[in-house]
Amino acid sequence: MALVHGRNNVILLDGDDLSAFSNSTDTSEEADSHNVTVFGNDAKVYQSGLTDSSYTIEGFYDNGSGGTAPSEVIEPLLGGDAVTFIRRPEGTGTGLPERSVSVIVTGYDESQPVDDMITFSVELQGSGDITRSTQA
Amino acid sequence: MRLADVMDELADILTAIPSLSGRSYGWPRVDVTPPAAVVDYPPAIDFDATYRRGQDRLTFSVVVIVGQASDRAARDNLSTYVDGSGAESVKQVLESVTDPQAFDSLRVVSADIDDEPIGDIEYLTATFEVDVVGPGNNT
Repeated sequence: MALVHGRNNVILLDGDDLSAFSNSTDTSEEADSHNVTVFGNDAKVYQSGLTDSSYTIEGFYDNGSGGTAPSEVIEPLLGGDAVTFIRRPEGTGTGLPERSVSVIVTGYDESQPVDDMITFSVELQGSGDITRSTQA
Repeated sequence: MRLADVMDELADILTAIPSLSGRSYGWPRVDVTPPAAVVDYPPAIDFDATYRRGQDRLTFSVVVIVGQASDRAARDNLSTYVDGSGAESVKQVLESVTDPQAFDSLRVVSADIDDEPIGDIEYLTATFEVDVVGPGNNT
């Protein structure tokens, strides 16, 4: 058991590898809670409900035109059909963990400061179950 | 990014400045005849600006040795080097590169003006801070 650095994180969106352009990935997994408290209970009682997930990826804008730059990958997906989002928090390799989920792209932002690099941010909404697996 | 390649390319770009043509060096050479430009080593390299060694970031000092500090002509020459634009503007010339080979992008952040002793003579210098971003995996 050991702590793991995030620098080897691999993120694939619709089959395109955004890792080399990205420097931050946030994952949020939640579950609904339903109040099932009844008379006689001394404390509130809850039961889990549906789960939900959302993701944020941030990184640097790239001016590439070969179809793999973040803007080329992400902008066409905005408001479109669900695509597969794969996250490998410890990198690519046999035995390493992988998370896969269908997502819809709900937001794409670019920031152009005068004194720094152009950055991007994309918001993903999970749709359906998260598949947790180990890479072959 | 390969440090030596970046330093050489910065020096090559500066040769587009007429008064620095043939007088720009990609290492901190001390036996120079002003005006001259030398690219000094970055004090640090920031690795892992992105995942998977996609990007690194370095800050270089590009030092232009202008002339004797007591010389009025040195002041006039300095003015052209630190100007924000013009054929002799270090900022404009460095930032005008359109297809860099050893890095992806740069910005001339600032210029500090000082007197630096070279031998027994005080020389007027302009030290430009240059922010360089490029691939971390030499591809």
